[in-house]
Amino acid sequence: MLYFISTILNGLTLGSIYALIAVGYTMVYGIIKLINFAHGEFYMFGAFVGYYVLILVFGGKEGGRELGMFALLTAALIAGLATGILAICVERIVYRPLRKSGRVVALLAALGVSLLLQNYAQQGVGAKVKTFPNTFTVQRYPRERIEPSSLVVGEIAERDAAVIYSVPKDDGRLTQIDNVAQSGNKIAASDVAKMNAILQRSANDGSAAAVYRFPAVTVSNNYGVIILALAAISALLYGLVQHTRFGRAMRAVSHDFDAAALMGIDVNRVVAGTFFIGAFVAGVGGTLGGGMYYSKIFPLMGVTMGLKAFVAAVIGGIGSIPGAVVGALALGIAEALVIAYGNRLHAGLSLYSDAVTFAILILMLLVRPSGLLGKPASDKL
Amino acid sequence: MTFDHAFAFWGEHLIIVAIWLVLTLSLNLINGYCGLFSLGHQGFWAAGAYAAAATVKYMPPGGEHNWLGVFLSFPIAIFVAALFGLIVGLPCLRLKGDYLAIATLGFSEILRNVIQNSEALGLSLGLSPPNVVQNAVGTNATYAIYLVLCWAAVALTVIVLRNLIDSSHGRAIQAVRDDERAAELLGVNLTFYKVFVFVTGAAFAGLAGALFANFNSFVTIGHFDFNQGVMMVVMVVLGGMGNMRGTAAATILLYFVGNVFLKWLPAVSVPVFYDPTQGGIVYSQIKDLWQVLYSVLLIVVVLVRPQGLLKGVDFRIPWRKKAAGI
Amino acid sequence: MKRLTFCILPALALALAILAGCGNGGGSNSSEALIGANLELTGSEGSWGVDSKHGIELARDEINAKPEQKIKLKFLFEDDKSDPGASKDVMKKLVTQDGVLAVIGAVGSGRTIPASIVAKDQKVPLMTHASTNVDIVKISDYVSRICFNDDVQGAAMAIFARETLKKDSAVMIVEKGNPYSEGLCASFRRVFTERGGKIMDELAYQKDAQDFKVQISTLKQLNPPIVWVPGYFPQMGPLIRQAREAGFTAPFLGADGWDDPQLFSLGGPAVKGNYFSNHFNPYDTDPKVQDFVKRFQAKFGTAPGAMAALAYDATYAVADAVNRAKELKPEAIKDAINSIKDLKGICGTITMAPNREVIKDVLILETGENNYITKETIKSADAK
Repeated sequence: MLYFISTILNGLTLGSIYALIAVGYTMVYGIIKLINFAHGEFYMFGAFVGYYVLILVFGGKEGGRELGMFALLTAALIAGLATGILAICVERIVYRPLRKSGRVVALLAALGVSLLLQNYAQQGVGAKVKTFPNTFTVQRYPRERIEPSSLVVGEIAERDAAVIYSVPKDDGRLTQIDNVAQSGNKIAASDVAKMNAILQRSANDGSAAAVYRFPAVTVSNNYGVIILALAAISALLYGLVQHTRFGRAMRAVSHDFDAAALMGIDVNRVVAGTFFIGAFVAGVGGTLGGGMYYSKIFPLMGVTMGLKAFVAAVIGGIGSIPGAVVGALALGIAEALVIAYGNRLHAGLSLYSDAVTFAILILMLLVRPSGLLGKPASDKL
Repeated sequence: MTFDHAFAFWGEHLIIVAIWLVLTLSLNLINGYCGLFSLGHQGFWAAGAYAAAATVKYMPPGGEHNWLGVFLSFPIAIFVAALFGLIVGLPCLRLKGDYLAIATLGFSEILRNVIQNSEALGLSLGLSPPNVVQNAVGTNATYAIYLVLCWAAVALTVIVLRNLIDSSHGRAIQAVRDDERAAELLGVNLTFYKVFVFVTGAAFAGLAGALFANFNSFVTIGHFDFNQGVMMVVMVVLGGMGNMRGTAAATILLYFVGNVFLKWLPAVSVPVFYDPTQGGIVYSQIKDLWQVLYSVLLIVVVLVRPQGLLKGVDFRIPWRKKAAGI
Repeated sequence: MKRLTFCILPALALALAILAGCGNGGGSNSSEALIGANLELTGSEGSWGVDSKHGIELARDEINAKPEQKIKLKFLFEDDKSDPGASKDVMKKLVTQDGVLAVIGAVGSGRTIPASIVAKDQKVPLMTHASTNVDIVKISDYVSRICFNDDVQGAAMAIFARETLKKDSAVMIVEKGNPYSEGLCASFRRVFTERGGKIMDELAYQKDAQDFKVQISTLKQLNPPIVWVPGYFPQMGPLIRQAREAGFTAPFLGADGWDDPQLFSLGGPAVKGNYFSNHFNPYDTDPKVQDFVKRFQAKFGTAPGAMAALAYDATYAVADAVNRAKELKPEAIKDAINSIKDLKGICGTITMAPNREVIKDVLILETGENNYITKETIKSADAK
């Protein structure tokens, strides 16, 4: 049961990152019926902007000191803005002239933009994997502070326990966590000795150190940041679409492009705004998901994530923002379940998670093209 | 550079470009003439190539001189690829435009994932059948044989597709592209023609796969990834959808520019990026910028000449024009 | 008849070709030997290829500077982009179009196997400096290696796990489809179970995976005392980091695919306290090693990894073969390579056995803060 819960949690994490990309996909499709293939590259672009902001503005280093939450959020914000501006440029230069040329032609142009961003990034920043600078240390919650003496060598630990302390690093500090005990295992003398050494050292130099224990199911703070960001973005978007003039204009354009134009809505501004918002979310997703969460960024990081996010958008009903979030979470959970339980059904089945993803996509397209939450539309297919 | 080296160099490129011609010409039937926008042609190619490689490798009696396997690999590859064309074509009947594109992409990704996890197909390492022709006749003769074989395949593709397009079936196929509803009203059997086009296109991709697997004696999923599929689409689009000569010219042009001519450029570095973490300005060799250039080319062509870069260009050679009285 | 155009274009190109081709120099003459290097210069394991290239360049310059070296070595470096298909293509190019006498490379077994097929078909020797998959040298007698293989390496780690760490069970995590990872899992399983250990389960991940949360949940449920995970560093850093973040405490054991500075930047402090087998430890106090590290650092400004040391040794081995070969033909070079004897290198002595394998010691390294500590040296002969 615990295993099932942790699998679902793992799926939700994955799904939240998909969701941050899927939202932009679905918004752009909803308004101009374009599958913006370059959207995965917006995610990549955002991750790199975040990386450079952290390094150049906040003086971070790969594997260096912690830059803190303020630095991360600033980087995410700047990444979002930069990605949004990139998207406006792409829309203005490439997509706008093609608005009347048919969906397939626009799709080709989107492929071109996607390839351009990927290939240019490979030349510019290099194909090699980069490590995202440390912003904060991954810790698990809930947790409970315990006395170091309650860990007795040789006893079976009921709960995971870890000593959390900070060490100096590049004119700053880096929090480190050393696991002392794992539930179900004997507490080892070497681990306790190491813990005592750490406590002693920090007592001497006055730095913080404490021992904590954790329940069987925990949530990491890096996941917390992502889910909070997703929740905040979803709420803001909902407010924006439902309760502002711009949102009304967006809905009108999405409903009937030409009629909206006739009613005096500045459709160009609405489309540009939609691109900006979608790319903003993807840029934030790149910094938080690709950067902070996976800590590994490279020019092709947007390809798989973009495709998966697109599948998520289709599952949720392309054009619907709540649908994209629901679809992404569902897809994340489905993938986690395949990886976790596939092998129990048949050896090697766990590795077919990608095939399952795309099979869901095709089934969805055939059986319920409007998706889980989308409105059925007769002429979309 | 000796004659052998030059022969190997040009043999290699002329064989691969011929295989690409078979691929793009058959994709042109699906995308260009019938207007079914497919992003999954690399999947059919992979199906054919893997089927051929497996045939040469596993067909009894096996071994380094498995001629039976080589001969059978062609019909088997074509059949397997056509079968995949049918599998993809049937469910995709309900889809149009960008949805169809995504579904075909989905199919090729599924195929890729399955190949990657299939023990018999060599997982992500790939499958290496014996190089039967090479083992029998040596390097130069192998190049000569495959040159003839691959260009014969191109000729076959051109003749079959040209005759198909010029027939009443071809007109029906183009009618489906131009206006599906009107075509249906005029009695064109949409279901039949859509599936037919997918199966035919896939069969030729299977032929290309068999040629590739036998010539290269090694196939791996990296050969058939999404970027290859995009490259094919780019060639068809640059040539002008539904234009065989344009497609062929674009294929030859793009292949040789990207794989041959650019590599002859002198080593010139151009600044591409400013990155303080890499020590200031980042330089790239011009020859490494091909990928960037061709994506820009794709965007520009779509913007400026959506009918294709080469559409309307007269490919007839001057003295033939004169003979035709133009 | 307009279709003739199709035939004229290529014919024109062919004519152009022969013209252009004749202008190009290349090939080997009596005072110069052209050697190819097929390396992962870019792509996911690009840093190994660059490291190897540096090792080759250092050795090449040292060898060519010697007055007694009559035949100078000239190297042609090709990038296989960490991709098996591209590896075969560049190997074929080196052999058929550039006419190299021998080829060094590649690092990853997945890239060396397709290159070995070309070596067999075209009858040109391929010496891999770092690919450890057992099957590689069985492909043809044109393929040799100068490092220990996965049977030795996996066995050494299994012995270390059983005898030194005294662990009686383990979980394996394999990178599906990577012959290196699968071969090492097979040899570890064989020796570990022979010595009374138990493999509790075998988990898997895909090439280029970055999210290991589900596998780690399974690990925590199974709770093994050690985990055998012979993968490459771009996955190992994140895997170990995510495991420690989730509170999983058992040590991870791996093989030479871990060796790269990026293991530490990707994995952070979590990397400390795990074990892997390697050919070479740049932090070794041995004067021979330290001298090499100094020369390498002076030339390239970075510390050499195992790939650089092995490539350096391979270059000396090829030079030795070139000097001893009866004539400068691939066939003769192959015979000379296959009879290399007692050649001293940074990573031990090279004596080519009849099966084109060498017998070398396996270093077992413990990962420290940002370095490696040699824990143990297991003789290749013991690791059976």
